[in-house]
Amino acid sequence: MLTGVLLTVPLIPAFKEVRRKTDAEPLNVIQRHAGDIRHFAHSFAEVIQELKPVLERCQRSGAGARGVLAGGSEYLVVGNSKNIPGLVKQGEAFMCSTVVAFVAEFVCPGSVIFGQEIYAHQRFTGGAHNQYRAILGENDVSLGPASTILRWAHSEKVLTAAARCHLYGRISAAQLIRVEQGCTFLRINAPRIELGTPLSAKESVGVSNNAVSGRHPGRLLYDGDFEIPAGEIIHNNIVTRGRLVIRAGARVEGSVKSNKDMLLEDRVTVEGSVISAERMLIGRNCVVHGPVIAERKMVIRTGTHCGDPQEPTTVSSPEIEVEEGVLIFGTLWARQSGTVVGRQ
Amino acid sequence: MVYLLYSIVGVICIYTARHYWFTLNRLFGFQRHPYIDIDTADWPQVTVLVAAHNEEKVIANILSALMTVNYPQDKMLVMPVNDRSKDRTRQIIDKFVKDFPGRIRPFHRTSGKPGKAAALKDAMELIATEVTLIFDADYIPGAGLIKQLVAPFFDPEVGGVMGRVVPLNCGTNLLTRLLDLERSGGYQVDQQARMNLRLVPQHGGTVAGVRLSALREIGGWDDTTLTEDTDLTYRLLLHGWKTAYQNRSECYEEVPETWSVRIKQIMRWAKGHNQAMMTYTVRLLFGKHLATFRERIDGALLLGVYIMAPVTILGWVFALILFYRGVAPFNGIVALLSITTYAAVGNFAAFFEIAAAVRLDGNRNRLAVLPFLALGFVVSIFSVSRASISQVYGYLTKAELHWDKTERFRTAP
Repeated sequence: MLTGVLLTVPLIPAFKEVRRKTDAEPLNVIQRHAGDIRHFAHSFAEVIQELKPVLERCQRSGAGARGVLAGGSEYLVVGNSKNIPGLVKQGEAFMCSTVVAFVAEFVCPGSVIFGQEIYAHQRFTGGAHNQYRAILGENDVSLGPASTILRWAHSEKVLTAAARCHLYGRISAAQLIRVEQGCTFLRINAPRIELGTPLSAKESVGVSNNAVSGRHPGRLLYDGDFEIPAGEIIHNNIVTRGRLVIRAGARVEGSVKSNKDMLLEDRVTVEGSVISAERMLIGRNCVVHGPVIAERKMVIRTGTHCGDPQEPTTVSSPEIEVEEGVLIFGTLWARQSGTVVGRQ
Repeated sequence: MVYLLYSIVGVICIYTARHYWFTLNRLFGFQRHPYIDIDTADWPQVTVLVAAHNEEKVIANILSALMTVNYPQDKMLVMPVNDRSKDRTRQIIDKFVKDFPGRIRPFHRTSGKPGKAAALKDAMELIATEVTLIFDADYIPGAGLIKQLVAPFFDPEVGGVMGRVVPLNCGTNLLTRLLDLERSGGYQVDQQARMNLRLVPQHGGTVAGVRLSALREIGGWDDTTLTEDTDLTYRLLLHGWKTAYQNRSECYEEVPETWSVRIKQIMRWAKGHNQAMMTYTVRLLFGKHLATFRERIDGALLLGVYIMAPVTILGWVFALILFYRGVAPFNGIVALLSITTYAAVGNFAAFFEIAAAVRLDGNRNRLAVLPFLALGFVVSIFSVSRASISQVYGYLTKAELHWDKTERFRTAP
C-alpha cells in the first residue's frame, strides 16, 4: 500500500500536466530577425514613422513638440533649438527621460543621460561623457569622448565613437564606423570599420587584396604543431591539431585552422578563413579574406585588414583586443569584451 | 555468470558517468558555439537536398520555408529528392519549380535502390557545390537557418554539420511530449556537451550539412546502411574530419504521434546504429586513423548506445538467475544495476540530462511529465532489444535490411 502511494505521488503533477497542457507548446525557435544587428533599429524606425507628420511640421517651422507615442512613451521633438528642453539635473549629469527626436543638425552638450531612444534626422554630434540608451541616425552620428551606448546605435551614414567610449549592444552603420583608441565594444557591423586612424599607404607595407575566389583547395592535416616558413606560399587548407605559426610574409591560398594557439606574423596573407580553437595573434599588416574566429581570445595588430569591400567578413572571439590602424569590412563581434588599444 | 553480471553493471556505470559528465559540462562548463557569430561572409554556393518519399502532406511546407530564408538567392539551389513517390509529391514539387523559376531543381528518382542513403547517393552525382545541406521533408527551417548551417564550413576541419531538431507537434499527446523531452535532452545536453568536449557530435542526416570534398574523400554515401547519418559520422571521423554541432541552429520536425510508428522508427534507428557499431567499433578503437584518443573512446561509447538495451535486459536476467540460485554477494550490484539502468539507457538522453535540458530551454511545467519517461524507457528498451535480436537473426539467415519510412501526421494542404 505504502509502496503504491510512494510510486503514485510523483505521477500526480505528471497526470495534471498531461491533462492541462500548460507547457506543451513547441520551443520557440523561429527567431526570424533576432540575429540581425539592425533589428532594434528597424523596430524603432517603425515607431518613428508614427511621428512623421509631427517631425515634418517641426522641420518646416523649426519649433519643437511634445506628445505620447502609441506605445505609451513620451516623446520630445527638438526643432532648431540648440538646447534640449526639460533636462533634469542628476548629480554631475543631466537626465532626459523621454524619447527624443532631433529634426535638425544638433550638437549635444556633454554629461547628458538619455534614458530612452534618440532619433536624429540630421547630423548628430554628442558631447563628452554622455550616456545613450539607443540612437537611430539618418545621417552621421558622432559620439563624444567617454560616451556610452547601452543597447544599440545605428547610423544610415557614418558612426564615429571618440576615445574611451563604451559601446554595449549592437552598433551598426550603412557606410562606415570609426572607433577610436580606448573604446570598448561588443558587436559592430558596417561595410567598413576603422579602428583608430587607418595606416597611411606608406605605413601599411605589404597589404595586398588579391583574393583567390571560387577555388576549393585540398586539406593538409597535421597531428601536432606546424609552422609555415616566412615568405612561403601554400596552396592548401591547413589544419593542425596543435599550434600553428605562420611566419612573416607567408601566403596561404586556402583557410587555416589550429586546435591550439595560432600566430600570424607580420604581413601574412590568408585567402580563406582563419580559425583557432584557443587564442590567436594576428601580426601587423596581415590580410585575411575569410572569417576570423578565435574561441578564447584574439589580438589583432595595426595595419591588418579583414575582409574587403566586395566580400565583407566576420571577426569574432569572446575577447578581442584590436590595435588602432586595423580595418575590418563587415562584422566585428566580441562576445564578452572588445577593446581598441594604441599601437605597440 | 557473476562476472558477466559485474561486467554488464560496469559498462552501464560507464554510461551513467558519461551522462553525468555531459550534464555537468552543459550546466557549468565552457560552451563552444564557435561559428554562430558568423553573420557576414562571402557565402559559398550551397545545394539544399530535401529527401522526400511519399511526402505530399509535408513537402509544400518545407519548400515554402526554404523560399523565404535569408541566404543569398543566387547562391542557393534547392533540390527536392523525390524518391519513387506514389502520391502527389511530384506534382507539388513541380508546382514550386514553376512558381520559383531557377531556384529549385527537382530530382525525380523513379527507379534504383530504395532508401534515403541510396537516393542521396544518386542526388550527390548531380551536385557540384562544396557545401550541401540535407533536410527531411517534414522539417520547417527558419529564415536564418541556412546561413547558420553553412557557417561551420568556413572551418577547413569541418566535414559535417548538425543542427538541433525541435518537435513541432509536441503537444499532441503523451508520446509526443515524451519525444519532445527526449529530443531536448539529446540535443540541448548530449550533442552540445560532445561539441564542448571535442568528442563526437553525431550527424543526424537532417538539419545537417556535408562538405563535398570530405564526402568524396570518404567514398560518398553508403547505400547499404539503414542510418546513413551514423555511418557518415564515423567515416568522417576516421578520416580526420569533424562534425560540428550547432545547438542554436534549430529546426522544427514532426515526431511520431502513435506508439506503433515510434516503435518502428526506433527499431530502424537501432538496427542502423548497431550495423555501424559492428562496422566501426574495433576499427575506431584500435585502428590506425586520424581520430583523437578521446574521440575513439566517446565514439565507441556512442556506437554502443542501442546495444545497451539488450545488454541491460541480459543483466537483469543474470541477476534473477543468480538470485534464485542463491548466489549471495551481489545485492549491491543489483542495486547499482537498478539505479544505473534507468540513468544510462533511454535513447541517449538520461533522466537528469533531460531535466537539465528542459531548464536550459527555459521551460518549467513540462518537467512534471518527466516520470512518464519510465514508460518511454520501457517501450524503447524492449523495441531496441527486439530490433537487435531480429538483426542477429537476419544476419544469420542473410536477410537484407530494409528501410522503413516514418509515417507523417500533418494534414496535406
